Amino acid sequence: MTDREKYKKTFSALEPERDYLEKITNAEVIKMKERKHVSIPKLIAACVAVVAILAAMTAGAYAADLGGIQRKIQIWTKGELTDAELNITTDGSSSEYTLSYTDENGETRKSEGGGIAYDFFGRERALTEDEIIEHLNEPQVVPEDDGRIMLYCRDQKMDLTDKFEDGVCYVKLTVDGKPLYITVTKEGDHGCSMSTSPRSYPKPAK
Amino acid sequence: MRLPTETVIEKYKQNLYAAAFSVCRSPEDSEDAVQDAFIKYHTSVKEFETEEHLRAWLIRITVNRAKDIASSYRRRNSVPLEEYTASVPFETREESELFTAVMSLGEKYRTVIHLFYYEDYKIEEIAEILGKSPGAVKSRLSRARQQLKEMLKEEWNND
Repeated sequence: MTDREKYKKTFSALEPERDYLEKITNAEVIKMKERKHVSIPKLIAACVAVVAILAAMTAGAYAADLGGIQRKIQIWTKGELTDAELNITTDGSSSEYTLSYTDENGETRKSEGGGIAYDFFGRERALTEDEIIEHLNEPQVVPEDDGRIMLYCRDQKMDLTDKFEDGVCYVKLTVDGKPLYITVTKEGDHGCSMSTSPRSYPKPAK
Repeated sequence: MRLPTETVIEKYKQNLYAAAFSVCRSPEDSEDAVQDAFIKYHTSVKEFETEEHLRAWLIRITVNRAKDIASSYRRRNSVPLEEYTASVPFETREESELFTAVMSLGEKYRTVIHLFYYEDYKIEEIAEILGKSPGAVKSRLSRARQQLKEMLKEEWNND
């Protein structure tokens, strides 16, 4: 018998006793797609409004076919509570949404995204409306047109531009009385990625 | 790709436990390390390129977590190693002696030798998992084999 065979036979006798499945049965994972922002210039905003009215006329049939939900909600955008319209479509196992609102300059802004939730057994389900709204109010890092990199979290704003070292910035916020550790990593010339954790600073993205 | 957590637990729990034990030398600490690794998998949104990629990720998470636990103040380590060794259903005296010999090695040697002999990883792969240079891994592996040979004599061939 080779050393490797002896070693394998020896260590295969070690058996864990714990029921790992039971320990994490109630946990649930939510996967969100990246939130994409689409700016709609003022000039075509009027056209969009017309299209929106036409779309609203057929909204019932649309919702019935695709499991669509349309809501007037308030979300935090750049530190301000803002009225927005949220449209959610689901196909049973995934959700897609579009969010439109008017920004501080009077421009109509549109974001798109979606995601999937996995239950413990790996089965996919569509995200609920509450989960999507929660996602929309998560902290955001926004590279502004003037070159600044801003962090927004509900009513909190922070200019991160000069806080990066070797392309990484660490920020601790307090949200609902609890700490939130945020790691922001620069990606390329203008992009940033962000990770959050309630316990400690996440590792920077590679 | 991702596998359901239930499948991952069933498929990898023994290997991860053995890997954690090679670091912690404690059943309870090893169980904690493995549990944390499974929770990390379950709550992660990470996509894996292949199942081999998933396996390497799980082992890396488990080994790192086991190292953290082994060096922490709140380490439980409630069952003496000798007592635990006596409770493992080894089939032969040689197996028990090999286990005892491996456990007597330093942690950095145990981990490398376990990944090499039990998980069949190559030196470069072990280096990547542990975040060490291939040269350091090669040196540790050589030193660990040498120590095992000294302890086990003809029962260890260094093959």
